[in-house]
Amino acid sequence: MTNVTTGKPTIVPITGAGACAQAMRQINPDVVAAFPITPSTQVVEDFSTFVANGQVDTEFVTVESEHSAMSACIGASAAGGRVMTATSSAGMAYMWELLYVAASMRQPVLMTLVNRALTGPINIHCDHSDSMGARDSGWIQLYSENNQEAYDNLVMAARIAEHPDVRLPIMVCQDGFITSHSIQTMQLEDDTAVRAFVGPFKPYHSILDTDHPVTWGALDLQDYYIEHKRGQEQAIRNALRVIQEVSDDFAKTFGRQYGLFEDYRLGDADIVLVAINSAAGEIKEVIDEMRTKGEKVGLLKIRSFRPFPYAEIGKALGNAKIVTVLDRSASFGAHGPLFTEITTAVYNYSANRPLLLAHTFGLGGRELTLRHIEHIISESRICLDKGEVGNRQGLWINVRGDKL
Amino acid sequence: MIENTGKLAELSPETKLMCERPGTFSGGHRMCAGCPTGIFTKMLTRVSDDYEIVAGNATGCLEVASSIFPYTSWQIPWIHTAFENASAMMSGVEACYKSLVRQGKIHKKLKFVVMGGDGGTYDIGLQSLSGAMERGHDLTYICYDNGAYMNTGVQRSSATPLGAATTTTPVGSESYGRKGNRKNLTKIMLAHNVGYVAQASIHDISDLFRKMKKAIDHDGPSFINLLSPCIPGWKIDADMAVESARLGVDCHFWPLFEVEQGRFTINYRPAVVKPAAEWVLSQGRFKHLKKHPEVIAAFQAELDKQWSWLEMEEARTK
Amino acid sequence: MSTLKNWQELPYGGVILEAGSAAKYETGTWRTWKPVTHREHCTHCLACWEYCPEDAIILEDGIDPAGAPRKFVKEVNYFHCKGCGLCLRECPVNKDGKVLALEFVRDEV
Repeated sequence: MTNVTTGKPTIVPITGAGACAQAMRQINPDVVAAFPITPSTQVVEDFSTFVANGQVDTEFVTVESEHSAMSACIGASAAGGRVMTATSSAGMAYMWELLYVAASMRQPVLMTLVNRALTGPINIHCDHSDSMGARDSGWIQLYSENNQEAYDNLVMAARIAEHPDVRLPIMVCQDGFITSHSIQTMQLEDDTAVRAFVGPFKPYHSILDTDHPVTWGALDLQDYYIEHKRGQEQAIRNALRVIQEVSDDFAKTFGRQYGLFEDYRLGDADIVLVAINSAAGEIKEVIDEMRTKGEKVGLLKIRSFRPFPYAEIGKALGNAKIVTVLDRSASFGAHGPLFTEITTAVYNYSANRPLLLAHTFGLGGRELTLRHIEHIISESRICLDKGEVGNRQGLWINVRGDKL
Repeated sequence: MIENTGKLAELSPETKLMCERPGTFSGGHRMCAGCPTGIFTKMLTRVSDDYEIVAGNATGCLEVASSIFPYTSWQIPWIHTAFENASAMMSGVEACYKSLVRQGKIHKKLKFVVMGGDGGTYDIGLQSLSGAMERGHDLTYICYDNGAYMNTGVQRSSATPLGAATTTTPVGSESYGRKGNRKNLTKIMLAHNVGYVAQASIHDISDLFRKMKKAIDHDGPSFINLLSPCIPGWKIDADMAVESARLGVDCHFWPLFEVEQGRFTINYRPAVVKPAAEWVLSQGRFKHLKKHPEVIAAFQAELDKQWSWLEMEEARTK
Repeated sequence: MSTLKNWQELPYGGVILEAGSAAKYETGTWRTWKPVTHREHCTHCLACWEYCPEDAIILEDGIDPAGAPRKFVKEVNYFHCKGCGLCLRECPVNKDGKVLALEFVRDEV
């Protein structure tokens, strides 16, 4: 796709990965360091053509691994540049060590994460085991239902990550293949408008500033490590406020309003499903259908998983009678990571105490059909009528050999 | 009272330049007494006035001992992130510099130096080093090779010489220490077609100065493998690091040579080549080899083989 | 730097803003022997300065007999000197076991 500077937004058919590459072109980072991995490859490939055609000022470092990609990103960020990357699954797993370093060194690296199952066995399709495993790394995590949201989130990402009260890396997640490879029509904003929205990068003690030589990455022992970690925790707590501020400004500029989560027909719902990314689209369709049949069902779709808006979500679920959480990753030997967060939010912040039902679905790209969602809702209704979830707790969806 | 010699020594051109230029590396670091890494680090800013240096470090002795929050010995911009990634990290720094120069946001001439021990270079950091060298970043990589993982308490690395006792190749009834010969990383760097590759030793300051300057001056990747003895790892006295390195060079364990655009130059030929046994038996890590003359013979044979290879390469590329 | 700071007072990400702050850290206490300079024997070749891993040999500006400016060895910085003895070992005036320009004496701390 060529440079789209029309002076006004354009409606384009584009894949989720392509949309993120467009956002990267518009943001025009100083450095991109990335290593291709399915299904995020198109992000890197498309961006390479922008570099090849001189549409960006970016120095593109074609590293030999994801470990080096994140290392180069941290180096470039410490050198005072705006830095972006893209990866998936095993690629991010290989970055793991450096994810923590990026966050602890407060380098606002911007990442497109196209969610894909972690290997074991190898699989290239969508689940959230990659990003969920990185939830404690200190990165901000925003999730995207569709291509438009993936694009919008990435445009907002720089402003959130680079905010002086935050200065943390951020990953914008979308579902592998389901959105990364599917062409959807969406609104691509004007280049100049996006650049104006994002604004210039403000370096923080750059190591290229030889007049003020600084030391980054010193050994931190018992006397200071925990104070630095406390500062990092404050930064991500601050991000909750900053995400909303930036989202509100985005709405003023581009007209699409986002919150920390999306509530869909939630107000009067007895049954609330909680989901992340593309599954939310299907769930909304089933909700509309079941609402016509009189079932009071709604959806809470997560946008910001880190930081997790406990109070806001707990409050939003205050009227629900049963909350059914759909995790697209497994935490073996425990309920899914989304379920445990929702439970915490409900326990501490909900006015009433709804039943809580945990389900795991979609590992390795296993489909979640409309029929499955209907079934989940009717099973939730059965639990609700019985007043207990019983042995339905923790069931996996659409697995041969199990009932659901 | 001892007699006054009354003479004033002639300073080498390198010393003259070095002593007038600003320093890189302050005292107050926590390296072992007598550890020679402080010798080359304080030279970084003294090799040239034509640019300023930005440095990166792999995890290791030098890194931990030079930067314990809130103290740093570094008087230049310096960064560390992890053990195995120093080359990749500095690739990012250098890439950012290029980008900012192209955009007119920075005007200074900066040069980039990466430092790592043999653990962070020969072993865990080899992939990121290979990538950075192959991509052609303007980086000078200085490996201070002390022949084992000294920071974690002297475990063997692929740079550990034949027969050395380390904590993972201890001497026992079935073991004479490290089996097999060390990896030749300098050759691996040559295979990357790096524009400037050199071996230097901590004892020869003028040679080291000249090589550091050439390496850093060079636009593009360059690599220096620097022999840097370790006091506790080699089991030598605290004042012996420089002498040990000198003897290592005099016995052909560590030939001083450089390869510029593929052309080999042997920088130093010992007037009398010392037997490997003299160097080996001067260090506690090899003391058990007294009982293993066959290992010392194999050690000597390897040095002879490497030296002939070097002479052949020098002749071939003349 | 003697008082430890609260987290709110620290710059982001563990960055150290004061270049060479380690100079304030005393490593001289590690020492059991200390080198003492005897300037009357010193040829000011600066080998001790070049080899000192602690950068603990202090130089001063001076004029050589021909009137040209040059550096001279002034003294040892005992705040940093760890007493490794490398300066003595490598001192060319001290060669062959003689004790001339540098002397190692027991350090009574």
